Amino acid sequence: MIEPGLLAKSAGGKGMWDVGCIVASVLFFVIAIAYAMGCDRLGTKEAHR
Amino acid sequence: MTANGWFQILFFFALVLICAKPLGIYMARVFERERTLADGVFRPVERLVYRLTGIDETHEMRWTEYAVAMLLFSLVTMLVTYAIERLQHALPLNPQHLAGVVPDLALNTAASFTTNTNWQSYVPETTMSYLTQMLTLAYHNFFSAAVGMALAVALIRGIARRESKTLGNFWVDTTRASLWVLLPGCVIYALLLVSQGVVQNFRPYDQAKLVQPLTVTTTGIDGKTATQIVATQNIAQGPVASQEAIKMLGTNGGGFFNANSAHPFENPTPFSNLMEMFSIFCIPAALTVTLGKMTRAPKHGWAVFAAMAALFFVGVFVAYYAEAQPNPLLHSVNQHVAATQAGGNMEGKEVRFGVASSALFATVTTDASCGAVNSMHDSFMPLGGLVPLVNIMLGEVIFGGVGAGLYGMLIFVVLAVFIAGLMVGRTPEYLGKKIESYDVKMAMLYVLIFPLSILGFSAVALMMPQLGLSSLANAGPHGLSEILYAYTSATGNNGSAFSGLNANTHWYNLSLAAAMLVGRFLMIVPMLAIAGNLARKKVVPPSPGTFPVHTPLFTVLLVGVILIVGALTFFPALSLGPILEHLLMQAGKGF
Repeated sequence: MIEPGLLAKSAGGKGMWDVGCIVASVLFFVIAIAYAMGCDRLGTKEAHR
Repeated sequence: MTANGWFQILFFFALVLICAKPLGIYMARVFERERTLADGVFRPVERLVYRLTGIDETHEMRWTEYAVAMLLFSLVTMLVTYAIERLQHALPLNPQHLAGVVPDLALNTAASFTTNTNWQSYVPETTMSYLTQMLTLAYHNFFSAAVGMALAVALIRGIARRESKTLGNFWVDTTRASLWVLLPGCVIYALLLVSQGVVQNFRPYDQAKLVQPLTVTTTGIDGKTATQIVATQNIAQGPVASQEAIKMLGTNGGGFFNANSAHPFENPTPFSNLMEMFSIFCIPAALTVTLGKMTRAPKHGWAVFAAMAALFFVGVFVAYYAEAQPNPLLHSVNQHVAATQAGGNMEGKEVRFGVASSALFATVTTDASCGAVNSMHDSFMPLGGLVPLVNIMLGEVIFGGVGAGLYGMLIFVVLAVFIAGLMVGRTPEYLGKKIESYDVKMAMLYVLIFPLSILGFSAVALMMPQLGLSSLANAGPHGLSEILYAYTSATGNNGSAFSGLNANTHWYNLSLAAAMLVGRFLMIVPMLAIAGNLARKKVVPPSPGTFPVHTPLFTVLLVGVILIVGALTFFPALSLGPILEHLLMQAGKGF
């Protein structure tokens, strides 16, 4: 069973770091998905040439 | 070098060769969904997994859908790993009451295990609880390897299929790789490791009384010295064998202990050492046979195998030769081979393994994207250390990581075929598929992202002393090699390290995490784009101008392309690092 006090303690003082790490991770994968879509669009454009 | 040493190397390679064909054919059957002996056990489990997760196993994916599924799966599992690391102090299976992992290290570790790198900026036995090791790190060991295999199979399907829009189903490929290949392999392998003395328990660490207590004097940050008498030693243990099995079979490499496979609880005997090296290579080598079988061009699979084998033997020869030489800086020490000593450079090596097995392990672990070590690469002679570095810089295509090695090699095949086409003035073809500008653009994207990350991050670390140099233990070319190795290992998803660099700083934790993510996912996307594009194409019947991809000439061209691309890109950096260090060492200067 996770104690709520311990959860709060783990976040204490490092909350901004946690937010930064999670946002950066999500952002990287969003960029990777956009990059995949870009590669696909390039392929479609070249196929229609 | 000794005959005994070469016998060990050749015996190891013979084992890999013998295993490649049956395992490769088995994997082809697994991924083509043909009947196998294991179906009775795993098919009901597979059906249950799909029912519970709502996966339609008949659904076929375009390459973009395959890529997005892989990326989202990786993101979610990476975030879960991060959360468990941060909260491990509040979770069960933490008998040592270890604290939650600090955020930058938790991010680095989550990225590291998600990308199959297993770079460890921490000491596992004093940082990670049993739950973190088993639930997140061992979990990633399975699934990052399974994802690698799924991606390699997707590329093979792209080559094999004709006028198809799809590459298979990511969830099905990953599930089948885990259930049919990795899981049974690991159960047998873990039991073999336990038979050799690898520990497997959930006990708190034992405490042993030292026969001779030590007096340790330390200097604090305030400059004051403190003397402490150390009379006891903690004997770290835990569920090691189960983690060790997938660590090696999945070419992950992250050790349960900080000393990795040099630790007697992870790798106690010469037999366990042989098994560990064999298990790194067996799946990547077998995947070349899978390639031949699934594309109905078995000779092509063996031609790719031959190129990998040739590069492997060059690497192991140089590493073994360099490590078997006496260190020129130790003038008055007898370093020759004798009945009572191994000879050569034994710094950082386990006596029970010796020079040959250490050089072989270092070559194997960096040919593949494993990163496990049974000796300290930082203590190798400059040319000995050059071999692991170059192996990773070549893209870890020499058998390579599970799946990643094969798809990396197939990108070089596309380039080799393209260059051959340019030389004879014909449109390049690969197994009947025309290689066109889009394929070459994507191949070049794959090839260029790799050095951009390695050299870019290394340059920033070197140019900003407060960030990159503050935790560096060695000066001169060796210091450069340590930084270069860190980013090469991270981008190549290898995970081994030159240990003179303390990478547990904010800068290194964050920049290495970025390098690992770039080196994995931004290279997979163009590879899948090539797979999707190849799958759409018609097959052109072979003509007299077709460049055959199963001949020794093709193997030589492929090796040439790999070496030239690697040499052109990294030679300047290497000449300032290990090559300069070698020349200075011959002149009597060490770092």
